[in-house]
Amino acid sequence: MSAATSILLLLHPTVVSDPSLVEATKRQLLLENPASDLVQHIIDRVATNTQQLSSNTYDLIHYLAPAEAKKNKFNSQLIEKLYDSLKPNGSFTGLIPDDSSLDAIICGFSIDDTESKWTKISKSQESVVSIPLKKKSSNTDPKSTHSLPTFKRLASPPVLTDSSEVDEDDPLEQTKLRETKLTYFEDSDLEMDDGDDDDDDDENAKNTFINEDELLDSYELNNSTPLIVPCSLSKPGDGKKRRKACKDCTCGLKEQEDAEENQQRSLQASILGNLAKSATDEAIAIEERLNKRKTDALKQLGEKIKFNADDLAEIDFTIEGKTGGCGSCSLGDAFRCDGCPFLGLPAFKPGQVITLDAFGEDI
Amino acid sequence: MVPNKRSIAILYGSETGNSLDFAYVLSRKCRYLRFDTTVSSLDDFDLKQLLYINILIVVCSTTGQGEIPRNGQKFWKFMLKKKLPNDLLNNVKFSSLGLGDSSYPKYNYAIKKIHARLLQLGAKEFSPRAESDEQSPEGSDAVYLAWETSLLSNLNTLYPLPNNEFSIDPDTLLPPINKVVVDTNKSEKVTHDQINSIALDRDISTTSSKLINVTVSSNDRITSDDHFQDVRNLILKDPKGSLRFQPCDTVSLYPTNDPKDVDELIRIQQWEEIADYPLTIEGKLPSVEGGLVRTLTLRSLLTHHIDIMSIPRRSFFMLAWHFAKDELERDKLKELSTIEESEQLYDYANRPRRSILEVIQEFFTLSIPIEYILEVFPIIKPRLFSISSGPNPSVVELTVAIVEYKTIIRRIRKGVCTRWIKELNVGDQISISINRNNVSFGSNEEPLIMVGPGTGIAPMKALVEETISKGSKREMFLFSGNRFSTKDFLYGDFFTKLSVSNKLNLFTSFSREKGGYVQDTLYANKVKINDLLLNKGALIYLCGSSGKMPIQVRITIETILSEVNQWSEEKAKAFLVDLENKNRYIQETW
Repeated sequence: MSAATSILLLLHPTVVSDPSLVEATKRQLLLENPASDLVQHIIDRVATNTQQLSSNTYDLIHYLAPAEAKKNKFNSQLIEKLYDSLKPNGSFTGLIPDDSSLDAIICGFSIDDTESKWTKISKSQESVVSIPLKKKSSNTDPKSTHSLPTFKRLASPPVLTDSSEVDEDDPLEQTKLRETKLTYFEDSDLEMDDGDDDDDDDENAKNTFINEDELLDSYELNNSTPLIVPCSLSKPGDGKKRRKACKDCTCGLKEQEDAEENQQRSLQASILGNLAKSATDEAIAIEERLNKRKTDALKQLGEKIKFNADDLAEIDFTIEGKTGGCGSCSLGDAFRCDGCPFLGLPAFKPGQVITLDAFGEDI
Repeated sequence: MVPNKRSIAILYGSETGNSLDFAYVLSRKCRYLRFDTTVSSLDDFDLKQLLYINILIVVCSTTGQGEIPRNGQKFWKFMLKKKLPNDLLNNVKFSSLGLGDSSYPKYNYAIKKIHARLLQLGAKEFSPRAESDEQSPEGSDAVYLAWETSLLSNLNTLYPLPNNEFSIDPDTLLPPINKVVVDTNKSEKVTHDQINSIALDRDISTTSSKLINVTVSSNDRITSDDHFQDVRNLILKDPKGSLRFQPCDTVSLYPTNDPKDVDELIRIQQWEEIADYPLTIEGKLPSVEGGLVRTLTLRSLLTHHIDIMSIPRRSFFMLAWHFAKDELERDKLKELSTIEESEQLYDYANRPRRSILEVIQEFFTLSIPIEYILEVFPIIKPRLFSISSGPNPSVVELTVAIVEYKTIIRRIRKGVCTRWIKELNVGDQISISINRNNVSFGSNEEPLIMVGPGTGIAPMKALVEETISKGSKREMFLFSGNRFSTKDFLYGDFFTKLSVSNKLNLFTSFSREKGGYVQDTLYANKVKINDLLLNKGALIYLCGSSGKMPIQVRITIETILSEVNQWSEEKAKAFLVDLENKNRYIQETW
């Protein structure tokens, strides 16, 4: 996979009033260069330095302007700026102004026969040297955090290597590039772990860190692929009911849930009453069967009693029409029906030893 | 090291554990597709590895006022460095998921910022990102599901398996990542009755937390006995005098589970025979805030680190179902692990606040193999409390509200940490760490308006003590909010005395004595508040529980500004935003 191309769309101030033209041009550019990043600026802002362009960044600069604008010659400073911000072999297309070819050639562009495209020749980079890349980039650094309607890629240190030229499958190239990059991580551990750092020094922080709030308005974020739309999880018949009450519920759902819980607790109380009664009955039965056991067995049996399936079936569920017939009540809340009177009580199995301790401290 | 095209790092920034859970759920899916998958918090990930991985996935919530969660702040500080070149991460393909709640104005800001910065640094988005809103009818789960579906399909297309390989059957049990092994050949260690001393001896080499051992000097209830809530004033002393903190800083406490609960789990899992032998953890150690205790046995691991009392998350069921022998139980556990059944999971686990222990208690045939325990159970997180005393190298005080409540489950729900605090005795030693928040309260001259209902009073007390101890003439206006003057007026005597001696302007609101809430008292003093804000350059510091309170206080301040100055609503709002940007409106809610 080759790296995506990076496109700068320069707009003549008059075309801004025609958004459909701008959109159409963008679509066309993106169609011709799939999976590319596109940034747009008004050309006047670039020419007047209001908008800095970072070095060695774009594969393509396209100028969108009305035909009349062809008469407006580019000055050499502007041409140098375009040259500087293009990657090697990158090109300038769109409306090519009259009488600017000479300056373009001086600057280091090659111009094709039809004069419809200026190309930055990579080897001429050294001979022209009109703008030393490194110096330029450090100059632009402080301005890179200007809040602008369109986000501009960070100008701070220029790209390490032109990534488009690195062969992703060449392990040697990759390793070399990675070693260069690793230097940026070297101080990362030491610096971060210091609990008493002096970041409250605002001035210092401003020079070291970008302003994170500006990221929210960044071009990249607002023009990346649209957000995923959630699937519908609601089941048929579920209606539009929210799954749960909000933290500060005011719609009454919270009260409803609380009321359900209270009702459930009083149900539990009567069930536990029945369990206790049943436990006592069972204890008496055992006592009769075993005969002549300790007389205080009854008290002890309050603690540990075995139930069998019949005993459980006999428990009065306190709600008319309800029996334990579904067979799931003993399995625990995960298996119990909505509205099961046992909801909230522990699971128990026929034949299993039940300790009343398990019911908690507040029976 | 040769980078692997099918290597994925799933990084989470998580405050309450939701992002962490989604990260683990996704990692399971990726492991079944045979991707080489690592999961880690943003901060625990070795940043250099970003140059070696191919695919990066970030799942992150937002905390405070649009900030990155605590376990992602180190990562974030690195990412914000200006000097990073814009092709630094051009080897990375990524996608992101934000977890948010639109009842907070700056929800999902953290993930937006992270996403934008990754793009700036040259990383390429390979699958569309998503942002969830807990308030939406679908909740986070539906967003996650849609995001996961598109992500997995994109992964499959971009990085298909070689022709001779197939994805793993989803019913296969994958080997554990951090295998836990009990060494029964060694001699047994006694770990059941020395909980306190074991807790003090921790291996902190894998974490950045600096631990300080302190002695409990007081643990008194400061609400009246007939008040519904038990609030403690916990005083901790450091004989070495090594405590460094400022108002607004917090203390991390490292609670342990109730030994009774640990015993119960050991009993029902039939681990009694092996519980006290030395134990080793294979693989790269999971990062544990505050470090693992050095005396490691199954019992000590369960007591000090394994969060058996937390509400089980989806990732728990995703693994646990493999370990139930009964068909019915297996199916039910598996069902609870699917996104489609999130409503059932909510009703079963979250709403009644059911603990993992209680789940295991009622799935009788669920028997968890020791080697998987670090993957099945979450790790106990430290709990943070605002410091309620002024700077002092030897003493730190905390205000702790004991959490106890009822749900449909019969047994009373208790907070793990507050249960532990409740049982701390004077003289006990515990380990703590201090988290510096570096909040600036201006230049010590502007008046301070402090609004701290309930336990939100804690950092206010710290600030008042600090100001007075410095001999500062700074004017202070404190708005406290409680139910009754006689039951839960936290530090009432302290503040009343200061008020009587004119060192503090105290404004109380006792809601059950017809005193209204803090916002009502603020409004009743609107001319004064307006004058302080407009003409005296005052700072507002607001603390307490999140939810309605901070919103209503904010609206009240806006109303005051617009009524007293006859400003439009917009102008009042803009003024407040400006205060915020100048750090004159400081809010800390939890």
